[in-house]
Amino acid sequence: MKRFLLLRLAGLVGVLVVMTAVVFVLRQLLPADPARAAVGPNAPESVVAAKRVELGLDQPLYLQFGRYLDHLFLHGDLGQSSRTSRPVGGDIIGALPASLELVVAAVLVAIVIGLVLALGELLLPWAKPIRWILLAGASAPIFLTGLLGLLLLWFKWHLLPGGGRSGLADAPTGPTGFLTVDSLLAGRPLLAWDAVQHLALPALTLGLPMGVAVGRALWSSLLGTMRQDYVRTARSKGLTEGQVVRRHALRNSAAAPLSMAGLQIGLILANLLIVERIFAWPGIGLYTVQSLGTDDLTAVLGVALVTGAAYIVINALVDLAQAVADPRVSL
Amino acid sequence: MTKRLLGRSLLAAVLITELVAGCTAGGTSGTQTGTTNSTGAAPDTSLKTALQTDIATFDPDNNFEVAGLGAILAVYQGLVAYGPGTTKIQGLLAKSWTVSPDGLTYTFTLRDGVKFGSGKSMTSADVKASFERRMSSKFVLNYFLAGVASMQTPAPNLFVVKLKSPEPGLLDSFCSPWGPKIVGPDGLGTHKAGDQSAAWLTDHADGTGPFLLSSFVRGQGYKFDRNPNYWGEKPAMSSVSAKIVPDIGQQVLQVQNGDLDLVQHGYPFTQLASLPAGLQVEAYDDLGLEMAFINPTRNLKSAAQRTKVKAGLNPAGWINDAFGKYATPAKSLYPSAMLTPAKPYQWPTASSVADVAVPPLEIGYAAGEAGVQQRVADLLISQLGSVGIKATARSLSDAEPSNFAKNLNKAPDIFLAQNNPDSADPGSQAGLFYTTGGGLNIFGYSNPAADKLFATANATVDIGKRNALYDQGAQLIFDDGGFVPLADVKDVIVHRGGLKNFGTKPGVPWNVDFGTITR
Repeated sequence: MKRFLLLRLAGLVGVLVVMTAVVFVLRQLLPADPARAAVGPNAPESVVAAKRVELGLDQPLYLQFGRYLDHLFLHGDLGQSSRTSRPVGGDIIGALPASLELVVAAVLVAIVIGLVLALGELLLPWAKPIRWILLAGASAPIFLTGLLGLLLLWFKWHLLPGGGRSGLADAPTGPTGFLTVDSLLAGRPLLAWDAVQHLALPALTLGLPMGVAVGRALWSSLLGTMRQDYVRTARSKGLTEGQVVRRHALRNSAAAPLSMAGLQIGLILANLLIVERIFAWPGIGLYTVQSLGTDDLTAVLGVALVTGAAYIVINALVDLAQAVADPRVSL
Repeated sequence: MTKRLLGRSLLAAVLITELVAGCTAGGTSGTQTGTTNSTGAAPDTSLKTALQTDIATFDPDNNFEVAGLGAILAVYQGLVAYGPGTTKIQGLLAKSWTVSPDGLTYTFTLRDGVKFGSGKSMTSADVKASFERRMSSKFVLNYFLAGVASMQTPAPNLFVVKLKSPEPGLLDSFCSPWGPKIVGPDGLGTHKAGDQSAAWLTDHADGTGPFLLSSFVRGQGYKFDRNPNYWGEKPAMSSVSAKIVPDIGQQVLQVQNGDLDLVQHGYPFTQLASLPAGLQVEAYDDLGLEMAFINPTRNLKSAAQRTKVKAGLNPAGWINDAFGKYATPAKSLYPSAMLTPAKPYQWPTASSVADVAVPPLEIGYAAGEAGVQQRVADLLISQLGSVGIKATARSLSDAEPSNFAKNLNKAPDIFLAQNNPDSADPGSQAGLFYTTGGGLNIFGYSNPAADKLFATANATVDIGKRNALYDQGAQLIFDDGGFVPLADVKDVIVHRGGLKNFGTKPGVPWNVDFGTITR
């Protein structure tokens, strides 16, 4: 276990350095001028030139990259956003809780959908229409799912709020940054319920593709498991189908869906950009979209590094979960 | 400032707005909020609006964006301002001013009884401190005061600015929404903290305007409450909330649902003719001229070729299809609210250039403006076809135009955009776009004869003579085909009825005046 963690940590640092280099080079290739982005489109060229010197953009690329690595690894400094004039690290920390809360909710939604799909197929034959609906929903592009959800559940039927994290102006901003949790900690259950309602639609949009993918992987894995001799033995002992699945099949079928979940996390991180924009969700997805719109490449680079690191960490956790679920998997 | 719709997923926006149009056409779902409910309760004095993008910084010396201007101008004020609906300069924090005969010294007499939101009175020392801060190289809008040689405060109500050389457009630049604003002693002193308050003023404010910034939650929205110390007429609205709704389709839905009182900018032109019941349109002139930038180094090297392109771009043939009744063909290379040309531009006819060969052209437009510009590009492809020119169009990232000059052979032949200059001074438009080396002269166009006229105009104090020179310079450029003016496009506000006195100004695009708006 210790060796696994050390290897993953070393891998994380290596991947971050390579990712930094790649993104840094891409930043040079993109037809964007960070100095122009920092001073605005109408600034005279003399102001742009002064900003270019101030940002060190007049120096050779290797010096710029060395300085960036130095700031990143020795000081944890992701640079300053040209859009907000604030440290990118601080901006990301400010936006991260909203995204984390949304991702956690989306994963919960995905787990429910995955279980409904996989187990419903096995245990509840009458649930087939639900499966078709979920499959159809997951087949649609995520922006379409989000927009249709907005139109129907908010605009037409008024069942859920349409955007943002809360409809109330005085929502607490700490200590966790998770509005649902903070509201409960503040002793305001109604506000927590409001936050859950606001969370529902974006979480459903984000979690649906993952849920369907994981559900299908689980279902396929369960089909194989249910043909095993030990399952037949369990049945012959008089266990119900539900008991067989719960006690013997589920855990032994977990490897494939967990792998799929690890892959799907990357998709969720990418889809955050779309979902947060559609639902005006103030997380790092929206922060990235707004930074892209103003050519704030330092902020985009910072987000890329943070989400890249998050992806690696989450996949390491998935590996751990697989080992816990299946003792045959060694780390 | 370049108009940027800050989301790039316009496909999604278009889709949702079209779906909404389908859902609501016929006026079945719109409901009127009204100013007073049927039970006779007190009128709602709060205003709910939205912004498509975060206000990156509330610091008036660092914010160069367009979207949050109305919010910043609700809190901060300058010495002078454009009057509502006009580009006429009037006093704001200065009740009067004089200019020395040599055009080098401006003396402002400050208004009495002006207080900051903190309750502290404004004096000329505050004005000087604000100007000194603005002039610091740390702040990106310092170029507004680049020509200032010195400042004096001979009395608490007198502020004197001395220039290095005459700047006839100085007062216009002071009227600019991005021009110098007066920051209070709390902002400049108490929270100075070694960075000239840059960190504090990013999400706090200390101004003299009709509203106080009472809440700034990044990524979510802002709240403004009426300033009890405001020196002028108290605003009708007791509070204004502006939440971040990046997707214009979402804003459209929210205003139809009553979650918003108004959409300040970006309501699709294609839907304005069939708004649901209860929604109304307020249209006003702004300084954003729809324009075609011509790349003179690729396929349009000769003036004859560019003339043929002009024949195909003539806005009379397509403008209604693109903007409906909310635009008129441009009269000159200046917005109509800025300058009226002495003589109408002569558009070439197709027959006069029939024998000129033009290779297939590429039209570029900024992706952020795709909703409008893509429509214009499609129409222009058809129009150019009518004069025998084949064309295609492609979307570009917002950043690409500023890098065209690095490789003009890979840049498109025509670039479509609608930009706003800093102020209503024609020198602002000419300097930004048409002068050699101008900040948004993206194809590096150069016309020495026009440059000479512009330089003369910049140093001419007489307004009539200046404008004539700017007009002549622009005529030369139009004749040469360097830039082609297309349309004066109105800015459009869609609101839930009952709102009035929007206080819109051509020089302040996309935004209403929270201080004047009433129900």
